[in-house]
Amino acid sequence: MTTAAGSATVRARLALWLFFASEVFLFGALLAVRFHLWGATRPDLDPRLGLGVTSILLTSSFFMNRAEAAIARGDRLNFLGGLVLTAALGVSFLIGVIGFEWQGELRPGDGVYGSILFAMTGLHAFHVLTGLGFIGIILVRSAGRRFTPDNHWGVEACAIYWHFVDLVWVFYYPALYLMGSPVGP
Amino acid sequence: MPRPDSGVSRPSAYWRGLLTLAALGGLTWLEFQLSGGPILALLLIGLGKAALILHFFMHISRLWKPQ
Repeated sequence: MTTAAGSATVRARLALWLFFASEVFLFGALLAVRFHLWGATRPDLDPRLGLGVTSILLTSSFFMNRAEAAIARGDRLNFLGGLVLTAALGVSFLIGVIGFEWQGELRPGDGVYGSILFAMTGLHAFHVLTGLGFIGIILVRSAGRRFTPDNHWGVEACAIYWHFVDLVWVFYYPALYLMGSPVGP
Repeated sequence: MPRPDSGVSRPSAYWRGLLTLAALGGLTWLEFQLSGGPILALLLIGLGKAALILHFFMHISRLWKPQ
């Protein structure tokens, strides 16, 4: 890739990954707090709900990957379909976390268990919401056929961001739902 | 027809994504079965899932091998 546009994409890609590096410190700090304060315990959450929302998020990454591969080949139908399905699954994930998990007995003020649970899921849910906004922008811009097989950096950035949010949950899910012995409400 | 410079046909990209999702699903089911088990085992499974996502979904290799 030797064109000016290609060089710009390489620089933008590097910048995005550097942003992820900073995000790792943010999410990693909360993960470290979880292990420091909870140790080998965890709140008594429903692991089946955790499994459900995790499956939804992993499936959304598949459709996002499919959308990115489709635009790289100029396949607009699968590109748009993949984006819409990804967004729908992202909304389903948020409903699972906010509509069900957050409505349980544990409240944000319930000591270290409530505060850490809501901090971790809240920060992650905010990133999912941001990703949905990103997908919305891509959908609007794609209506003007701005993305082509040779020029779709915006789609790639959106996809990588979505996968990163998925990547974070890969570690948050076992830390919240599976590791340690359940205690408390 | 596949783009001549893409190097990957759509079906192969589709199946690769599907296989990645299947592997992620299998590992997620495994860690669900290990609920409350050894933290190190759960961490290692998480690292395996992260590696799959980084390589097959996030295409981290594009950083040093731009297409």
